[in-house]
Amino acid sequence: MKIILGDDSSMHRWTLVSMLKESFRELGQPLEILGEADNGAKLFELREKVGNVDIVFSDIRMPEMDGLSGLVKIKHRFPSQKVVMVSSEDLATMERAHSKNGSDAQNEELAKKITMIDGVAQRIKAGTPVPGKVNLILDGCEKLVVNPIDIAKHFGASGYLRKPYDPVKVKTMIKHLSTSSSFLALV
Amino acid sequence: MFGEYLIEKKLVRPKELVRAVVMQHKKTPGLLEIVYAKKLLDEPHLLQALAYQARNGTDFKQSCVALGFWTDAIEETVHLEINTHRVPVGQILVKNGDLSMETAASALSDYFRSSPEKNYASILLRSDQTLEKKTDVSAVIREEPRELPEEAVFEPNFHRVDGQLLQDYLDLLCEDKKNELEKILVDIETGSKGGVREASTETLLKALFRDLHTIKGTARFIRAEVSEHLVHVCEDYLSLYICFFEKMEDKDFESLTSLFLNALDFVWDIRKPLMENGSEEVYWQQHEAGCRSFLVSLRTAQKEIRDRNYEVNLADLEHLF
Repeated sequence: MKIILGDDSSMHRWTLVSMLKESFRELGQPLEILGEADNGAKLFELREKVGNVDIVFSDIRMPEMDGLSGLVKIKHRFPSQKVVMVSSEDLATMERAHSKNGSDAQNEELAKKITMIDGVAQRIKAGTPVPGKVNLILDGCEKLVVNPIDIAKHFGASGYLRKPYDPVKVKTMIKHLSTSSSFLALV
Repeated sequence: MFGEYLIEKKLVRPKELVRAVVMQHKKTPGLLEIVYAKKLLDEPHLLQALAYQARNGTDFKQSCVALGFWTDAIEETVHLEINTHRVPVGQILVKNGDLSMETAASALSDYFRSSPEKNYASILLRSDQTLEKKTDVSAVIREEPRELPEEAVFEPNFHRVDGQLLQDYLDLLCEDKKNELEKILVDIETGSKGGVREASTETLLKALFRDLHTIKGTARFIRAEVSEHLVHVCEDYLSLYICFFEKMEDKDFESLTSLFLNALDFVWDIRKPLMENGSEEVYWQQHEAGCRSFLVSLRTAQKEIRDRNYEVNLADLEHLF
């Protein structure tokens, strides 16, 4: 299996690579790490450069271009690419300003927010940031107080892994990706 | 803790306190019991966690965390249940006849007043008037654990770490990084004065958040739970500024700077014992009260802003998207 990964922390990249090597060794499958990047834009460039990749692992919060924006670029160019988002994000951090009650009004509001974020995604795909506007997906999530994992799912991510990495979680995610196309969040 | 205070004041004997604590433990539901009764995890997940626990010799919560089952929501529910059902030690001592009601009430009042650094306790018993108005002393004793704020129930685990992982974390916490973050804070406060919220201030807030996030993630990696929790609470507070940046007042930015400069001091102060011992335990033993007090200050400041009930107004933001 061919993998590339993006994270601005070299420690986290090293740890993920170690876990992946261990997981694949236990699964008895070959693994090839084709490259690493430290932001979303470089991860996209890496994907373009290395050709066929089975799984992309991407941190959400990275400088220059966040992982969600990188996800949009990658999926626009490679629609069938499996991308797993990873993060230390505490799920409640960005949603605590609002109570969650799942009401129709809340669902409608979420739908509106996603539509607004789609506008950001259009600019990312076209490569046309506009001064004075939100030009990165994570910035949009923060402005609108939206769970970035919901947005990752909306833009076609295959899964979400919450740090710290754990061998069980990593193996579970790898097995899931090889057998299912549904989104899996391991928090 | 209150029990230790009673011993210190020779109001109860050690064996009476031990008996009361054991009785308290018996009456307090365990983690697994709460998770099962409240259906916080379904049976397959429960079985998986128990199997992991048996295989790895960890406790139930550690198993759930390792398997990715343990969420903030579960944590909050469990703490609420524990605090609801836990019978205060004072109450048990009174019931066992080891302490009179009057002595217990008086000791409780003295305990909170004599320990000003125990701010979480002063929140429970805000003033002498509150105590005086209570005619039912058992209600006062009962009140103690029910209102314990989150930071009073934070109980870190301590792990030893060494080698490259520890070194990477220590390198992250170099003096230059601290200076850099302090400068950002000063720039945020300076740039935000006069009620004009510049875009550059927003950029600085995000830069600060990103750095804190890196520190938190790295602390989590080396399982430095005290440092991780400190920074996590800072992140929670800062996220409100990022979300509602334009609604914040000058005094809010002053408060942010003041609190975060303190937070940086805490995190950097932990660096030395971590370097020397590979663990935060020594630091926590010496500075637990101060840390808890500071965490409560952060949460109080956060709550004050949240109580303003700022809303995300999509119409106001549409032009940005």
